[in-house]
Amino acid sequence: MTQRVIAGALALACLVAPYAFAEQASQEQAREALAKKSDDADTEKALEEVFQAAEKSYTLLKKGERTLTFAADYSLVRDTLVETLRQNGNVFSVVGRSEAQHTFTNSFTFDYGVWDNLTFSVRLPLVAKYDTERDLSRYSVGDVSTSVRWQPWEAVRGKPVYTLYGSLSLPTGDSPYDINPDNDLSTGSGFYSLGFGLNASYIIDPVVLFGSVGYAYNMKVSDVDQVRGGRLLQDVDPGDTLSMSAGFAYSLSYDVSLSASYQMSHSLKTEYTFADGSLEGTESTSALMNFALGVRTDPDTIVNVNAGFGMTEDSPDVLLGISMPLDIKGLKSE
Amino acid sequence: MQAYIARLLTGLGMFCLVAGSAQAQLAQNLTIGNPKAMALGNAITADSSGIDAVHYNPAALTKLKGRQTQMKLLTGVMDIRAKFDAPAGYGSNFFGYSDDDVAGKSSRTTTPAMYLPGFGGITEMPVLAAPLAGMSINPPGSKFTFATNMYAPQALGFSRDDDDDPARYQGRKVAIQRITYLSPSVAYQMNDELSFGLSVGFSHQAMALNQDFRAPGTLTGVTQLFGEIFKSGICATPIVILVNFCGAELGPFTNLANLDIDLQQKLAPSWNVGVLWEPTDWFAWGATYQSESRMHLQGKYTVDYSSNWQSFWSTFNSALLPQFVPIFPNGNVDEERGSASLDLTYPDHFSTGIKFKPHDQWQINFDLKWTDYADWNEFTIEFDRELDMLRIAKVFSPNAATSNSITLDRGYESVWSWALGVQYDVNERLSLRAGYEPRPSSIPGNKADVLAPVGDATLYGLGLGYRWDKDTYIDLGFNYFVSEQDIPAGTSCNVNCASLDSLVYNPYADLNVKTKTTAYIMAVTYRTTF
Repeated sequence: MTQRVIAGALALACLVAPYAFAEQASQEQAREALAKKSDDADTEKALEEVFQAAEKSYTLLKKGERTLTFAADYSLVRDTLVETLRQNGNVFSVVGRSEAQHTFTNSFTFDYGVWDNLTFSVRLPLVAKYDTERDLSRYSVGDVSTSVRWQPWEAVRGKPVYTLYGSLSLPTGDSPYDINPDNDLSTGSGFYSLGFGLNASYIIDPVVLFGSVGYAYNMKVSDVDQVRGGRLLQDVDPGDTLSMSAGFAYSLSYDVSLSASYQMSHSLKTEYTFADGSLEGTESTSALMNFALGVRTDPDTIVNVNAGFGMTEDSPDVLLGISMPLDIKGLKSE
Repeated sequence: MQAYIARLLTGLGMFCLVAGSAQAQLAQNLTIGNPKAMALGNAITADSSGIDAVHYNPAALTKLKGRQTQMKLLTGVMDIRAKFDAPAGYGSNFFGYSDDDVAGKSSRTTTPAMYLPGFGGITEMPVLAAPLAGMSINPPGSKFTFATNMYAPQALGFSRDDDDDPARYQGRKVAIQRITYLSPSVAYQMNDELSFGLSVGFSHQAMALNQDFRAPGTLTGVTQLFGEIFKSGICATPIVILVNFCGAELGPFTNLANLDIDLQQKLAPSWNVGVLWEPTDWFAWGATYQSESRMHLQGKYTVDYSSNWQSFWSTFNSALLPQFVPIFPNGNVDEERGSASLDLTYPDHFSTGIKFKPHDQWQINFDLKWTDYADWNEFTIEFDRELDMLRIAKVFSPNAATSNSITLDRGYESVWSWALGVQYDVNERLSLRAGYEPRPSSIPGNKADVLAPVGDATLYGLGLGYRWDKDTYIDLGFNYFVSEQDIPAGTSCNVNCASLDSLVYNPYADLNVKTKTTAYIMAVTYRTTF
């Protein structure tokens, strides 16, 4: 029974992960997506589920159940942008500028069990971003995202658990296309993103394996009117995103569990339309390793901490995070 | 020329001032919509104000026991009027041109406008009404009270969107608002007498302006004069190869452009701390400090140049002379759109007050308040490129303009003010309240304008509180707010200076301007346990 629950929980975790990757079009977007979206939450959720054994026959929330989760995350992206200039047939590479973006995200995630096998979720991120190389800072909301997770088949012992998900990310953060890119920082992707995918988990006692695949369609941004590199940018058609993740969780004791996961996303080319012509961006790939530790601090509370690192040029360099369920006394419904 | 440019560019940045002045007078506590505070003239620092204590004094949250929720409906009407009169000799500074369609006219609007977060831009509203809510939790037996509240520390918006409205040169549509959507707060009751509180506010700050531009002054007098001279015969001669004034008319009263600017910051943090000391049943003292909030507003702008502007400058530039002096606007674009930003500080505020009950049924509240509007010394708006207007401005006003920014001197002042409220308890259930608050202006007299037509103001409050049952309270509050300004011609270089060195946008140069703003605000709250 316990194993089944664990498995289910992990599976659940997996589902969340993939749609996190949905919205990258350029390197920056890929990074942001990896930096902290639902993906890490997945790992955390998996761990949480490891502990929430009990007699849940589904890995999602039960009908009518509500949870509120708070997470604080940090990511660092260091980069040096090299610009290529063409002049009279010669090509020059110029070191454009160096960046060191420190992003602190406080997010609130609300989950609601619509049915026993369908869970609705919404996440509100509050973002503080600092670029210490360029001496810029920005506070804003990030992109609000919603998702629905559906488990078509009841979890059965000895078999993998599958969950389908659909997600929608809204451009509520500061769009990179609405700012002055030389002086301001963005906190969102700037476009709507619609994603779907599949999560699966499988228990090999005492370990739970989990993985996911996902696809996200990123919608076009029009009427940008932004000056970039001396040209007037008008439309941006971000490339779609493919993502996958895989990992395992291991329950060391009743109070402590560990998990490790690998997450990867690949963004197709973004098309930029300028007033005087159009340009295709490059494809980008983000990949990162993430390790998480879950500790039960009291019978009802599990605190997860995680640390990760990026593995490609397009990924964040460092990721740190902590998450916990929010239960101000008397507020949480039972 | 210098004055002309300066006016144009300062006008461009004018929306800042709007914000400034509007906030200076209108914002402070006026749109929180707490009926008790409204009725007591905002003398509430030492008193309980339900869940709105998150704003007024977080320490007073300790008054809320158990789990409480508060729903609020805030509504109001703002009547904004302006009158423009030409004094004797009007036009003498513009080469005698005095056919000003604004002179002698009045403007009046009661159309409210709001900035809808998530949609952007200014939206006209059929009525001004905002539903707001908050909640608090005091675990049984705990000395802590936790709360969050949604409220509007600043909300001013109006529309006079009409091509005939004489006030359209200083705010055709204006919205300046700050909505605190999340305000996690904690209050700690140290003992029976002393409480402390802290709240952290996460707010959405918006500032949006749509405005027409004109520049009455010597320079536009000259351009109109030359235009008329050229058109009386010179346009047919070869002189136009050298200098050409044969385009459309560009005079003191010509509409030059329309600016639409839409700036916001979606998360602007700030914090409030408060203390409440109640040594006896009949006396209490409270104090609150509300932190400043430093912001970097970002957004979009559109400058839509009039056909006169385009025709005049493109024709002018077709001649030889301007080729050697490349400082003039090109006049070759109908519209410029892009990104803009503005660093703005929401000023910090301190208030302290007492609650005194000389009789079991009578209560007197008295507050002293201070707001640091001196933070608004100047505003700088940065554009993402060189605007056609700024091309010429940066040459003639290097202190106020660069190729992609303008800086506006504000010179506002931090002011102290006081407030007085009286409450009479008819019985255990019903309380009647009245209040009075004189609100001295933070804007020096030589900075007054029509964009934010609020000078020294007076606020009167009336209201009642009714205890429906053991846990349920209903409060009703009404405010009457009135502010008048009289700005004789040439006294405020934010509106009607005509001198060549006036660096501030003066679309009503040499006109006598009078404004009157009246607001009627009503709020009702329902607070109960859950």
